[in-house]
Amino acid sequence: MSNSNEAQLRKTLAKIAELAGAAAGNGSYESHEDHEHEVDANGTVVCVPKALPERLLLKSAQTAVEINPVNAPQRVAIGQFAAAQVFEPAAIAVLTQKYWGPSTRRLTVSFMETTAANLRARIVSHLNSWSKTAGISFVETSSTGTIRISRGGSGYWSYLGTDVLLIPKNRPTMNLQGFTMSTSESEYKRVVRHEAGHTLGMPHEHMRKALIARIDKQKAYAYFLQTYGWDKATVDAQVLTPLDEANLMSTPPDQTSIMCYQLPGSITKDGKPILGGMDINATDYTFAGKVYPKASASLTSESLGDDWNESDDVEDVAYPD
Amino acid sequence: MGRLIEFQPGPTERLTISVGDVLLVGAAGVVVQSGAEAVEVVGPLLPGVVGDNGRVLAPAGAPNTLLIVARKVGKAVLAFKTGAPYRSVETATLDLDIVA
Repeated sequence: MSNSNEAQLRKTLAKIAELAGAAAGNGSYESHEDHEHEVDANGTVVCVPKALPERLLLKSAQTAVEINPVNAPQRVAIGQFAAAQVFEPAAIAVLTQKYWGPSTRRLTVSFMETTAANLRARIVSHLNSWSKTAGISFVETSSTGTIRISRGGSGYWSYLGTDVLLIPKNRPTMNLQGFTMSTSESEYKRVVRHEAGHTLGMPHEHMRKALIARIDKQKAYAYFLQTYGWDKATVDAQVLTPLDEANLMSTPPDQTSIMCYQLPGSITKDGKPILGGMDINATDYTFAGKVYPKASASLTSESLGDDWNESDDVEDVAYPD
Repeated sequence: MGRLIEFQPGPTERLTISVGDVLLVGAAGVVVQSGAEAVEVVGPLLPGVVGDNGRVLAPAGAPNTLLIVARKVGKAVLAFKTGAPYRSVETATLDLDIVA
């Protein structure tokens, strides 16, 4: 995934967290324009943002751009990805739909290969580690799941957030190469929970500017070339291209986040390693709880989902120049 | 005509292929220890798919695929890197014979 996508992902996650936190009563969201107002248990008027049904998100984005071109998504040039990253007209809706949303949700899980019941249960239990604070969970299904796990492909990876909905049903959305019941519990925590984080829409943490600033580029190029055979472009893409801080949450970089890779002290300027996450840490749990709050009366599908029949949608409107 | 040959590093330590063949290797990286003139390395690559929306989608993760193109008759020794590139990396060496 390109850094421009990761930056936009973080920006949108931050906004979701802000909105969700405010709706849950612990945030500082203050805009009252175009929102309905309700009275909470304390008699205080609170602002409840309303969202369109999913079917209308793309149209709403197109309308917003039609009315005011400034609403179009920015084309951010970040290094080599600038040429490859093309935002389709659907970018606004796609970016919005990359996040599962603040309402509670259960994602079905199936396995691409024949997998023993105890192994399936073990993997799903680690996916559900995030449910300690997040209102999103994984449940196994005997049919084709929304999340499709393979253990036969190469490497460890997962598609990001609701991108999994766009993956052909005969293809995995997550790969856990070679995971068996013999795999250590620590690897389950480090790998399965990391990939589950991607499925929840979380990008890598290790490309924060402050962490990358600790890396000696020339040492990194030499190290990855010698150790992995990676050329400079690969090292740049995987290790050295920082996310735009302006698009990040204002929390300090967290080198022990489960979403952070480990980097050796031999490539850092101070000789100290970037530790990398071995398990979901407290910050991760807090962040997940904010982005995916557990059941909240003000964040049910009633307030965020389909609240009228599709036949009642307004027909296309021509806007004057 | 060249062949596209799927290859998983590990069990096989020696392999004979022909000029024009291409190895599709599940690995995060490769170090060509000798015979660089006989092979061309493409990658590492991060495989993606064309999504239902017609756009190319790639997962979050380290690269996990390489192409080794047999260019000339000769021998090469390749050290493939598998596992998690940032932590539990394993090396599997392959002696490659390239024939006409």
